[in-house]
Amino acid sequence: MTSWKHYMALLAIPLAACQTTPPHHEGLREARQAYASASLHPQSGEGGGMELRRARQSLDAAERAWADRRNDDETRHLAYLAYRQAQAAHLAAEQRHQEAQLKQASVERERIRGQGHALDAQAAHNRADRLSDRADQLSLALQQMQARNTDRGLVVTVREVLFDTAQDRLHPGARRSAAQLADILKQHPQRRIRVEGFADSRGDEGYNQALSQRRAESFRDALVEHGVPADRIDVQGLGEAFPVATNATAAGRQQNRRIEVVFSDEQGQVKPRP
Amino acid sequence: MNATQTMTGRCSRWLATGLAVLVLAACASPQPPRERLTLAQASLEAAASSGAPELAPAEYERARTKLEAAKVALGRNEYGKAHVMAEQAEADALVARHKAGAERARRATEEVNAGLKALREQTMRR
Repeated sequence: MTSWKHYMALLAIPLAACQTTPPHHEGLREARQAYASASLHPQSGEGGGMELRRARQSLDAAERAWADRRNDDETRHLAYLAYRQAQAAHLAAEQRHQEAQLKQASVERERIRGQGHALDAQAAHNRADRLSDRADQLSLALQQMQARNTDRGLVVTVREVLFDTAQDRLHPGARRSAAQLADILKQHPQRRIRVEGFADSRGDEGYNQALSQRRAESFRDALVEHGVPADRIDVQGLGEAFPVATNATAAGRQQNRRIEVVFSDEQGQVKPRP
Repeated sequence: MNATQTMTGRCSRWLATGLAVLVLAACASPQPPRERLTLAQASLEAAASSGAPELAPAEYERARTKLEAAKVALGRNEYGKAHVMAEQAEADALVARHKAGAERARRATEEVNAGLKALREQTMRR
């Protein structure tokens, strides 16, 4: 009986040691904190990666060394390993975080570059729109003057230019046409025109050539009077050439006595007659 | 009584294991920890090749110093100390390597962000 009591008393000491929590160990506390911090990093990832697993193993070993054996040297060493491994895990997570930021910034850079290109494209598109808008406006304005859209561009024909076959004085109708055209040309300063004069086939060719030239020049002078710079206008007398109607009838000949105003393109180029 | 006996049994088993480990640890270190040193050396080299000497000089230096200490201990047949130093050197080298990696990534991000800022301002001015 006595030996049994003695035995129990002996056992009481280690039993007490097992049931109480182990005393504080500073190295262990720091290691636990470092591990917690690393595992809480948002980029800690699935299981925290290899470094965090190693830190966990070292920390568990340190906890056992302290709780089971109270081995200060061993605990301190294992806690140090856990601390450093947790630190490495934290830094690895930080690197992943930075790399994610880097990727995001690179994507953003490409997006902005793309946007820049889109802006350039939009600007080019707008320029093209403005160009075609202006062209539309011109053809609209010229529609009132019964302009024709030909291979050479927009052409306005003015008949009854001069009062009389032999005179230089401009017919009121032609004068109105000149005023209208001058307005249009002011709105489209990049356009040039060529004024081509024509005659019917009565009389000799040399006379008709001179007459057609005079018709064209008279019209040019009227445009200049209305403020169109003379250097934007080319003048050419083409005589009896290019009739638009028969010269056998009076009505046909009247059709052929005319001027044609040919508009240049946006670049100021007038296509020559083929 | 029964519970106390079970607890006593479990506790004595732990005690026995702990004692065995302690005895083993005390008797241990008959073998020089060469493998540990090789691992620490590899870890230090990995840190060096990731740019740790420039990007994490303090951490790299700490690892290098400990590896040297481990080598010295090994030379003096202090295997226990050599083992401890080598293990710590390896962990220190790991920190140096990852610090260098994080630092390099941080600098790259900073650079791209600066470029991004310039690009944004340029786009605004269009």
